[in-house]
Amino acid sequence: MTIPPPPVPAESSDAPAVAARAPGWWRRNRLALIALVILVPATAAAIGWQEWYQYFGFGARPVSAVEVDEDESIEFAGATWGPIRGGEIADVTGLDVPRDSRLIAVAVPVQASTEGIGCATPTLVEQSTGRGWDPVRDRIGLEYDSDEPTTCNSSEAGDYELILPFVVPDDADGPFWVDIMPYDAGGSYLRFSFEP
Amino acid sequence: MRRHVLTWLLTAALLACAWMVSKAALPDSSTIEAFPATAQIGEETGARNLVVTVTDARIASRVSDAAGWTADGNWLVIDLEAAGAGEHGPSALSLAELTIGERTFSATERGTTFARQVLVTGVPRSGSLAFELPDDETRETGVLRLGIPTGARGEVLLDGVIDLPLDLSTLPVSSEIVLDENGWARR
Repeated sequence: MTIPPPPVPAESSDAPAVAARAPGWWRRNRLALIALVILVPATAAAIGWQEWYQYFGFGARPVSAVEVDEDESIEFAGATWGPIRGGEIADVTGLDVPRDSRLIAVAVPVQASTEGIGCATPTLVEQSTGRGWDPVRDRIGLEYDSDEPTTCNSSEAGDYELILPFVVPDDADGPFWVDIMPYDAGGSYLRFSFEP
Repeated sequence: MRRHVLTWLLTAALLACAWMVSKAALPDSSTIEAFPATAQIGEETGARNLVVTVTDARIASRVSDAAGWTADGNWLVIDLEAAGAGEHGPSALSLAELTIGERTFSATERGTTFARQVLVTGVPRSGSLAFELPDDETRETGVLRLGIPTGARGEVLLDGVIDLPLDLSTLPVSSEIVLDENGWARR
C-alpha cells in the first residue's frame, strides 16, 4: 500500500493576472515604512536629549554667557556685579612672578544681598584663543587674605571686592573675558569684557 | 557526499575567519583610550591640554623634600617642567604613572612633590615626582605616563597624554636625592 499523492490545488486561469496587479513591497509595507520614518529620528532625538540632559541638566553647568561691557555693572543671581577694573601690574617686586609672563590683577565689586552669594572660582579667558587661567594668589607668594577674596562666598553678605591675580604668558595680550559663575544661576554665567 | 564536504569546508573557513577577526579586533577599551605623545628626556612634548619637559630621571635609595621629609626605599625621581595648554579646563597633573611590564605604579603622594600640581596655561611650573619601586624593578624598562584627567575617576579618556619610555637600568643612581621644590620653571 502506498500513500496516495496529495491533491493538487485546481489551477485558476486568472491567477497570473491577479499576481501582476498585486500591490508592490513598498505599498504592502507602507504603514511600517511611515512608522520607521517617524520613529528613527524620534529615537535619535530622544537618546540625544537624554545624553544632553544628563550632562547639562537645567543649570548643572553654566553654558550661556551673559556678556557685560567693561564699564558696566549688572544685576544677576540676586547680586550686583561690576564694573570691573584692573590691568597689568608692572612692579612685581616681592612677588614670585616668573620670567616671560605678566601679572594681571582684576578687581570685581560684588554687592551681595543680605543672603550672600556663592560662585565658582572666576577665570580669565583670552578672547582670541579660549585659553584660560585661574587666580594664582598662593603661587605668587601671597597669603590668603579675607579682605581680598578670590571667590565669592555665600556666607559673605554686603559689599566686597574680589581680587583676582592671574599669571599669563607674554604672548597673551587680550582682550580677555573674566568669567564668573554664581551658583544657582541656572545655566547662565557672567562674562565681563576686559582689556588690560 | 560532495555536498557534505563543501558544507564542512565552508564551516571551517567561516570559523577561521571568525578566529582571525577576534584576533585582529582591538580590545573593548580601545574606543576610549588616551592618545599618547612620546617624549624624551630634555625635550618639550605637548598634548592637547599640557606641555611637559622631563629634565632628569634618577634613582636613589633615599629621598627628601625641602620641608624635611625623608624616606628610604628604592626611588625613581623625575624632575620636570609642565604647563597647561589649550582651552580652559581642569588643570591638575593628577595622572602620573609608571608602567613596568604588567605592573603600574602611581607617583607617591608622600612628602611635597609635583603630584597633583595645578598647572598654569602657558607658564611652566617645575618640581619633582617620585615613584617608590620594589627592589627588583630598577633593572627593567618602563613607561612614564603624564596627563590631566578631565573625567571622574582620575583617568584620561579620549584625550592626550605624554609617554616617556625609560630604561631604568641606565639611569644614574645616587644615595640621596633632594626633591625640587614646586615653583615657576623660569624665575
